[in-house]
Amino acid sequence: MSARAALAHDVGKYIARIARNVPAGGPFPSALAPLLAKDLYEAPGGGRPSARFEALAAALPASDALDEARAHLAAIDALEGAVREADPAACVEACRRALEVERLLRGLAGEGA
Amino acid sequence: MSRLLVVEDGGEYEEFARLFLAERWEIVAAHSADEALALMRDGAEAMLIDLRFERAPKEDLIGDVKGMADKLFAGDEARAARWLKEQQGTLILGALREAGHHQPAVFVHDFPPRRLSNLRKLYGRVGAVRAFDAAAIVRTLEGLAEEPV
Repeated sequence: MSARAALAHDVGKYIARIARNVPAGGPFPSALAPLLAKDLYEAPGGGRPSARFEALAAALPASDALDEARAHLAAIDALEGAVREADPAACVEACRRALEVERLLRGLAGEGA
Repeated sequence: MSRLLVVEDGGEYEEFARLFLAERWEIVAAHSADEALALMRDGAEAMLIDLRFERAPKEDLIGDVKGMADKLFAGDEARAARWLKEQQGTLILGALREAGHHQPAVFVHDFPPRRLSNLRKLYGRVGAVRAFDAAAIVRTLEGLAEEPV
């Protein structure tokens, strides 16, 4: 599996698992916050998604998509305390950014296919 | 309520299914081909299958490492073992089909169209969704259920 495909799979796919399925409209369901936190801060297989991203991105040439994804991941990391406290606005913002990370990394994987 | 068989190496698919698909199906989960085959003895309406089994212990994997190494990797068994982990979901689906379980199956994976077409030629009613999208998974499985076996 290429580094691009691994980014889309290991980071993009799992970081958006809960984010993509949050019911539209209404307040963020607080019961989903612990699972959202798991997606955002615990990558499958261990480590943080942002760290997994950096490990995989190191093998790729710099690009706008990688920079954008990196910025979203940094913002997601900065929201950790509030997300873990189930702050609704922080959870909504983290979901938005997680979906952006997924979109960017899928696009990157498509370019390398 | 009919059952959805989830097959994966970790726990993310099962957790997702219990959260977002449990209104539609009773969720049962397996972590190897043997477990999946055992659960299917009691039947299921559909299957949600992980493709990559990177966290699975070697002894839980199906597939012939040596044969694959000789066939595809010039005898390199490490590469063959890695390939078997990366494709384990399709191998498990193959084992389920061989055992007579032809229920609709869906992968959460962004397969190239040609690859998906090949999977459908091999395994019949198979679909894929690009992301953990509960609505898309339900739509895909219900669509596949309408197709002839």
